[in-house]
Amino acid sequence: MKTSLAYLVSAGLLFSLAACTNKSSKLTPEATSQSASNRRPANPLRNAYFGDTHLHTGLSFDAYILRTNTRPNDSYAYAKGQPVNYLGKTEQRKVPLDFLAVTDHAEYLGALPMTADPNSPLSKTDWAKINDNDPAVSAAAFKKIITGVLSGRADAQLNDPAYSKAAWQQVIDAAEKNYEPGKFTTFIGFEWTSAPLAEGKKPQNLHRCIIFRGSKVPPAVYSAFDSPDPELLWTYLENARKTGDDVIAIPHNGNASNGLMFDTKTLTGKPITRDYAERRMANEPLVEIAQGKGQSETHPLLSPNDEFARFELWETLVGSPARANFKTGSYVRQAYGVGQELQEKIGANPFKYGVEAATDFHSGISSTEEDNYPGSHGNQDNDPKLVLSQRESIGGEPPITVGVEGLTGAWAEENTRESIFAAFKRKETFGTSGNRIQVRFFGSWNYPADLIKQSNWVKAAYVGGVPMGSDLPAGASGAKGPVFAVWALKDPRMGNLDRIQIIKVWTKNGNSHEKIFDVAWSGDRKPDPKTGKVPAVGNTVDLKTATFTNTIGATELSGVWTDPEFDPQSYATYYARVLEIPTPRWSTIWAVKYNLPLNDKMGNTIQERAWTSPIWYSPTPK
Amino acid sequence: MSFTFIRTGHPEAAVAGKSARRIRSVVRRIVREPLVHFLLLGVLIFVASALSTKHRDNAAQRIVIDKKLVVHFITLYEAQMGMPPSRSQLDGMIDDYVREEVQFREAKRMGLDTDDEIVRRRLASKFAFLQRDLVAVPEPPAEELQHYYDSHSNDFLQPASVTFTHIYFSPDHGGDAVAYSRAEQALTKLQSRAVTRAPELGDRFPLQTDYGDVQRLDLLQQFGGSPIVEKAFVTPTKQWAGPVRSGYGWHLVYVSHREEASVPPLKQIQDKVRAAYVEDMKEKANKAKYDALAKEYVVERAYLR
Repeated sequence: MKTSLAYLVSAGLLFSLAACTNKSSKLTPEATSQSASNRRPANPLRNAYFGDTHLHTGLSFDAYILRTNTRPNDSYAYAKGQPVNYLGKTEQRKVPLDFLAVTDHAEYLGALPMTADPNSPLSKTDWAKINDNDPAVSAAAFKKIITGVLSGRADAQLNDPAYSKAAWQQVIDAAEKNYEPGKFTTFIGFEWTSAPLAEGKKPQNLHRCIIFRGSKVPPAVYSAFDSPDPELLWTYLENARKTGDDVIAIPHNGNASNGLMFDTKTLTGKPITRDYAERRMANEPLVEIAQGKGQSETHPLLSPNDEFARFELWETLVGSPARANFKTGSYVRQAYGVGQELQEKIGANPFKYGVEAATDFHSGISSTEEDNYPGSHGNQDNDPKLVLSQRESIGGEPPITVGVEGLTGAWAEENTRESIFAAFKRKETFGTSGNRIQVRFFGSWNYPADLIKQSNWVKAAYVGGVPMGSDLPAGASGAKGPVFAVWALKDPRMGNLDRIQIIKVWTKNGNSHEKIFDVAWSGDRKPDPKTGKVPAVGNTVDLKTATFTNTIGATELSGVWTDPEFDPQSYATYYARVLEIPTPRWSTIWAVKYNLPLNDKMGNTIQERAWTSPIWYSPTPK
Repeated sequence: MSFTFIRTGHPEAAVAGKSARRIRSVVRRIVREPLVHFLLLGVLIFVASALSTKHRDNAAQRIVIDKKLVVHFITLYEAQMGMPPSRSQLDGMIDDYVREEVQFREAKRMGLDTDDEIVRRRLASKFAFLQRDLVAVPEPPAEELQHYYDSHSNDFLQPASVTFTHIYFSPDHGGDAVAYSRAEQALTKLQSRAVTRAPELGDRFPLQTDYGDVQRLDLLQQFGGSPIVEKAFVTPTKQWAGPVRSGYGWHLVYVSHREEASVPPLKQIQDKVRAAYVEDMKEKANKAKYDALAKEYVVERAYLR
């Protein structure tokens, strides 16, 4: 039959394509190279595993245009600590990661590389101009593609599902091949790149990364061309769960959403309902609070009392020099308050997000080590001279603005898909600005003040309370405030810790407020009697050599803190933020390494940090 | 064309009868003429061929959408979208199929499948795919497996691993120099006693105190590439060593056991070796099969002349 012939031929092509990209023809997970005794035994009190949940290789249309040569197998090799060729140079992490999800754009997935394949019909189209050596020609073609993607109009040639399906199989095969249960976890995923245009063709970021728990995934991805509306994306996820493994969507770059990400209306303009709120939280347990294009925790103008709020800010829309409107709906801390305001009205909180962080690098390598960063956007930011002198860009912010952030920390029993994905679902995760800072955060009504001094305190904390990402159990009415235990350990390679703060966002009768409490800090500093704030830790950074010394700060910090302003009638969100001492920013390290003047648009030093998932309090018991 | 015999018999036809007789003989001569027979046959063949071509063309113009095909479309859609297609979506899929089928048949009629690089490659890889792994690899006898293991031992190299305990001295209590001297003092105390584990002599370490059979990569992730990682792999076993630095402060280390990088004995990794052997045999069988096929062809390198 001619039909079955066509399908067999396609199957044959797919398999031969897969064979082209992988040396081994094995499509099943490799047996772990460790003997049973080498594999780290499961820890019921959970270990912190660090990974990247947002990364683009040359399979993504924009990364390919930027001449990124890597593919998913390279990404996993780099994360595991192996050397990888990026733009002709060898790059290698100093310390490997524990897990990685490669999330190439669903839009035109795998199509752009075909413009360079003489056997593909795409190489005979105008799109092949992308590969032109004349930067003016390739830039014009790039602009055409980007405009199309941003306006949601798919080009029929590039959007041929054959390319997408073949590339999706490559993504799946690479994840399967590189998964080593107990040693290194891979997650199959992609990015849904929705950016509805506001007036004046301004793209408003609503992107989400889709992360699958296992390998039973749909045969096709879901792109913004299918729909830019998150509610339809959730339908795709719900269908995927019916026929295969569990899957979640993780939104990012609220800072570039022009107020849409945490809007009180849906994309179609309707007010948020209880159903919508519950559906959103069922599909999206976590939010990416920091990444290369800035952090979305808060902005100095929204949090004027937060002296640490000016950190890795990205203030334009993505792909546009227009400033983002961020007064509402853009930053997570404010959204926690708005979510509680909605909960008062409709009975459910649509922004009850756990927290994680990732890179969104378009290099195919998760180079989150501040002193080991080769650029992250292909030929746009690999020339130090250009990067350190550039203060503007057609794509929005200039490359100096990109931060070497971030990583997701997950508290899981072992390094497997099941264990780490379960941590995602119960929100026992935290985000960091790229360093391997470990932080634990627990809440209870009756922790003793010396909890953390006890010998097996972590077990006592789990037994007597709830970890990050949870709701406080209903407390006795009129009880004194909840007690929180927080602990953090520095990244052994990086700066000491300055302090741990607990940030509280509370809501009553439609009004929200925020306050920051310093809970633990290094040295013998005393809080200012007037402001209650602990003074700055100091600064050991030498700008001439881009080095620092750990003569200030602490290796480990911990504290047990009771909310002194607890109001049982108010909704409250509590989360912990850990700050390191100042260390040189990557741009400062580049300036010294390449003997170029400093570019201080983003400051020369930063205080790296971690943010935990919150613990929530609701006045009416659930 | 048909032949009519001219009937005669009327008196007017007496004269006509005479010409009729003449006509009859002319006709008889025509009928017996071999050239005429050939012409007639030619006409018959031409008609028959035209009729049959028209019939074949009619068949080639027929595109049959049967139930089987429609069920196939529905199943495919359901697998992708998780729900059956609507009537209009199904009609759309059928229209797409018809368009493709028309284009496919026209393409074949024009001979577009010859001299097309992509079609050639697809058919070749389809063949290769169907031919692959047809050979069932028999269970290898013990000596075969042993021989494979001996000649490929580097593939099964296990990295070095170490079992150790340590004592931690945090710079958070009095600074880095104080932590170092505390470590030194503890070391002197330990060397006068036969103690193999004593975390209580130092500060509480937030991660593991005892490490069993860990490899370099694991320690790298725990301690971040500091001197303690190397120390654990080179220091003499069964004695306290240090103070040695990590990213967290100072440590004393006691290695009780270390395994150098080695190839485990065959008995221990039997399954792994067997799997590698089978994979290897399959590759060889596929190659042999191809070679056998290729032998049937004569390759003439005309370009070298």
